[in-house]
Amino acid sequence: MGLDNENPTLFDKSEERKVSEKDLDDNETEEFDSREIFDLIRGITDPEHPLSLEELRVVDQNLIEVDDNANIIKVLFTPTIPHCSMATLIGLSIKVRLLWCLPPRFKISVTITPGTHASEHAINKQLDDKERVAAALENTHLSSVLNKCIATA
Amino acid sequence: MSILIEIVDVVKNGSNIDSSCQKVSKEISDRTLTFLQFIESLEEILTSTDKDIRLNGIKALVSVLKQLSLDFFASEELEYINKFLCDRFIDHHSFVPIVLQGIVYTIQMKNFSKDMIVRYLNTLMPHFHCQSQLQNDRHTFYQILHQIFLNRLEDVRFMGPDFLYFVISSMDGERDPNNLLLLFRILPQFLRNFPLGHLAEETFDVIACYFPIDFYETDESKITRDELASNLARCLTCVDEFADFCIPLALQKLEATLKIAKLDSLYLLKLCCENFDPIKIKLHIEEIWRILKMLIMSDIEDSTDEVREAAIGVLTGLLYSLDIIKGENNHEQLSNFLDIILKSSHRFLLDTQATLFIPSIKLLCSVGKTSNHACCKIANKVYLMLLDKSDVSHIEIGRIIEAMGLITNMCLQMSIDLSSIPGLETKWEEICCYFLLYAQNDLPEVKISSLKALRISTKILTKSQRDNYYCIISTLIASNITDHIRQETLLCFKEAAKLYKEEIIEVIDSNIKVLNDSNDIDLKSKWLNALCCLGNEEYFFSLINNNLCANLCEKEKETQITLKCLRDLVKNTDNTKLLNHFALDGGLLNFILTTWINGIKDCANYEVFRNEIILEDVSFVINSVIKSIDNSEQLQIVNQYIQYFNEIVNTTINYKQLSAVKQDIHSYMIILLESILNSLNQNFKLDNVILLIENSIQLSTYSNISICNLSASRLTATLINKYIDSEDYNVLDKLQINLVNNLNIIDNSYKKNVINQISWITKALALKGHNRMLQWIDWSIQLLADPMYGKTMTLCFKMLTQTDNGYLNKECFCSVKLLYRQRIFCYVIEPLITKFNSMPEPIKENYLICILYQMDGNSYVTLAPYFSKILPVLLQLLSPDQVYVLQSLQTFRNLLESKTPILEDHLQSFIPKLLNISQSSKYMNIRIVALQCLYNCCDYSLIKLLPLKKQVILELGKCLDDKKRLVRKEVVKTKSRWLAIDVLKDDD
Repeated sequence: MGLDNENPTLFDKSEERKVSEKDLDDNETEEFDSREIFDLIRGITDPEHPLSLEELRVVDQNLIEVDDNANIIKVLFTPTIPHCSMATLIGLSIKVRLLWCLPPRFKISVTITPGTHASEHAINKQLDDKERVAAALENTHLSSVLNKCIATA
Repeated sequence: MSILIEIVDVVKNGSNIDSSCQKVSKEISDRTLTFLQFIESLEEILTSTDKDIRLNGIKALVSVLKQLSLDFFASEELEYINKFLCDRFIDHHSFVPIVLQGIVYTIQMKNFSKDMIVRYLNTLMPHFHCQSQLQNDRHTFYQILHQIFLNRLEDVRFMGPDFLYFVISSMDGERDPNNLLLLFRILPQFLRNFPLGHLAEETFDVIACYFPIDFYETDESKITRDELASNLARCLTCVDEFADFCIPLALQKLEATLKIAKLDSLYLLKLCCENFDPIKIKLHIEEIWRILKMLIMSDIEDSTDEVREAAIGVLTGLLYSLDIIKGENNHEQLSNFLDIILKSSHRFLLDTQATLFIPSIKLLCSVGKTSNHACCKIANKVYLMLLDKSDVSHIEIGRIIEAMGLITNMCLQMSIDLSSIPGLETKWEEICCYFLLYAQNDLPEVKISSLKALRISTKILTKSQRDNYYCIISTLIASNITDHIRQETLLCFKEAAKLYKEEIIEVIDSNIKVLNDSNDIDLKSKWLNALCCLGNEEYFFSLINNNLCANLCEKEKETQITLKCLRDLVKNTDNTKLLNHFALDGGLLNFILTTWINGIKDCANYEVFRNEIILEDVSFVINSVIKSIDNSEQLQIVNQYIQYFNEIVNTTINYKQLSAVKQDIHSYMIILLESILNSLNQNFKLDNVILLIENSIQLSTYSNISICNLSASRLTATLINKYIDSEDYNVLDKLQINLVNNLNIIDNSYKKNVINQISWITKALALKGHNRMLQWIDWSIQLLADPMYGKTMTLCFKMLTQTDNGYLNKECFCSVKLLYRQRIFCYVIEPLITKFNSMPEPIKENYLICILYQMDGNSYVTLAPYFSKILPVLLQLLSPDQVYVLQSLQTFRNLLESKTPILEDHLQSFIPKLLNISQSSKYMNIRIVALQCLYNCCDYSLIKLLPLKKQVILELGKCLDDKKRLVRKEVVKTKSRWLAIDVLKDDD
């Protein structure tokens, strides 16, 4: 049962986003904001536990930066422990989820919160490499694990 | 003797043996023929050199035997039969099946002796190879064993291991599930009563090779996997000798990955704990705990809740088993094991915020519930550990309180006095103080877990703590808190009211007194709400009754809030007793009726007595109370109050000629009248029903007050449904002529009312299946064509498919025919479609709306035969320029949601249309519903979806940049589902 972290700390889930009057008005326009991005990824399941990234506080709304006009989205994520071997997989699932669910005009960057993982540079580089992300999706085993993580989002 | 000649012929030919044998055995039972004579007549056949003829002879013999009663033969006769069957058994292999049948029957006979059984066995044992027989014959053989196990075990005991060996070798390798089920059922009886000796392990192995059961049920199989598994487990644990083999087997299979194997092993382990000697269990305890710990205290994905629960079940079984080990220090074993459990969970208890904190507490609670000793030990350890925690964050406090609540619950369930737990002698009061303290905390999570804990420990609070507790509850009730906390507070209030009635009465009295002097409406509403939640405690009935009455009818606001509480109260089915109390003399029902009748007649305070919202609530409450009381009480209420409605019930009303004041009084009175009459039992006879119906129609047509129109037309419908039978068609025809006249002559402003009245009457007739029903429906379809009121008429078709909770249903004693909705659908759908296709533009819409209403109200089974006609209409509508696209999309979504099979063949024609709408419609609601339709399409078979996937993903990609966030959310959901349609699942 070689789990990296068998008894992780749990955090509370935030409430569903409230629907405002403005949201229901056909004439208004809503820009992408950090909460919307957070909602896209908070339900992703951790590869090790049946818990969501939000409950483990791997992703946090405050660590998401969105600039709708400049088409830039930056997401930082925090592995539960500094030597977590699943960090790449978690990063990959966040990245893939965002690639699938956001309009192609955005440049999406997914990186580890500085100073929270032993090999953060290597992982950041891996996640930033289009070719490697594409290659990972071709891998049957890897893509089935990814699909399982993303399925709950 | 002719029968004997007949039988010889029959047997020789080998056809129709059974029916002739029946005659023979009847004569033998009647003593008109002896068995000997029968055998003698068969002599030639039984000694024939042709084995087929001999076989027929044996068949005849066995067939006759089987129809004689079990006590027919004397033991000498049986002796011969016994010898004969033994000889035939070794005569030829093809005789085996029929001889086995003979043996099964003879072995049950009354005079069958021990020697005879031994003779059978001595013949069978060397010559019989069970597994080389057919399934049926094996089954017969197992039945022989069953008979021996049941009644003759003493006779074969002297054979010792030989017999045992014979049994296990004959079942070794059995594959038929039916035979196995029989074996598993009969074996425990045998194994328990027969010495196993050195063959114990062999016996175990022969049975254990089936564990865990690998059997797939089909629709035809009569047995289930569970049946097999539970019987097998019982076999494996039936004797103590198996313990040494069984526990390791269960533990070994527990490590398998298959969930079903895990569950089976856990069940087996549980039975082990229940059935085997605790001393044997003790030897394996550490090993068992090692594996259980892994299953219970980890949250890896494959340990599902089911497995975890089963594992906890085993653990409690284990503890029970340890608890009954007797000896000088009988708690020693248990204590040691408890120590092990506590030690393993210790580290999970340290960090309250970690995932496994609450699961560990729950585990310890189930452990504690196995014995008082365990309970004390755990309570001591956990309480002290939790009480010692200092410097904790707010989130942690919530969890600590929750944990303490669970442990307190455990102690109370085991009836353990907290003060008797070692180490808590002085501290136990502190625990409840913590609960009380944190119930006043500002954080909702902390508050809720404290309230839950308090509710559990209501019983053990001291008097001073209780006073404090009531203060807290009162403050909470009066303050602005979230719904969740209010719910929890009210549960606490209810629990306290159950246990300390007098004290709670005092609390209520003191608070209500303050209330009556103040003008704080909000506060009043909160307290009334709290009072109403005690609706199933008889002690508080008159208190509730009086307080509600006191707040009704004086001021508009007070009346409104009181009625709102009352409405919730009568809706709750737990409160039926209270409703009966309301109906008593001097109760709330009388009060409301008298007050409102007088109020309306005296033209008193319009804000209270003629307020539409209040009147609606009043009518709802009266209706609900009357619905809940029995016939005689209903009768009493009606007799008491019908006099006040004399003018409506007994005189003809001509509304237009009444004075304005009278017009209003009648309009409002009909609302009250409806609420009284609505739920009357059908066998309750009303006088002047027809007059009343005509008056109601007058009121529903001419009154200017919308709530009165509705009440009056609904009352007409209810009365027609209950009292106008199919024979009374004259009445209906007369009504129809009147209504037609009304439509032609009256002002346009009243026409809408007439149309509504027609709709209600049509509905009443349709529900009842009245023989004028179709005539009225035809009329309704005609009225749709009217340019002015056709649109109002469409509502009729909506009404026909809907059921209203409070009116025109079986609870109100109306007659409702089975499948009336489907019947109407089949009747109206074709005319509607034809008219839709043939009518000019503005009127066309009316038919379309009706078609959509009718489709929404019916399931696919009803729609199916008409689908080929409906589908073109629907597809025509799926374009962004259509006015009715939203409504038709919703209908379409409902069809997709219920996986309407026929749509599967048309996926490629409507998916592009849906994609188009989801991109180009101007309205977000339409875009959203179109996307939901696309989402539901994924329920269809993969093979139809795959060719469309690429296009759908591409087109949905364009929607991702929609300007509305709610639409984007829907796009993401739909796109993810389409992306995942061809992903392989684990079980594929």
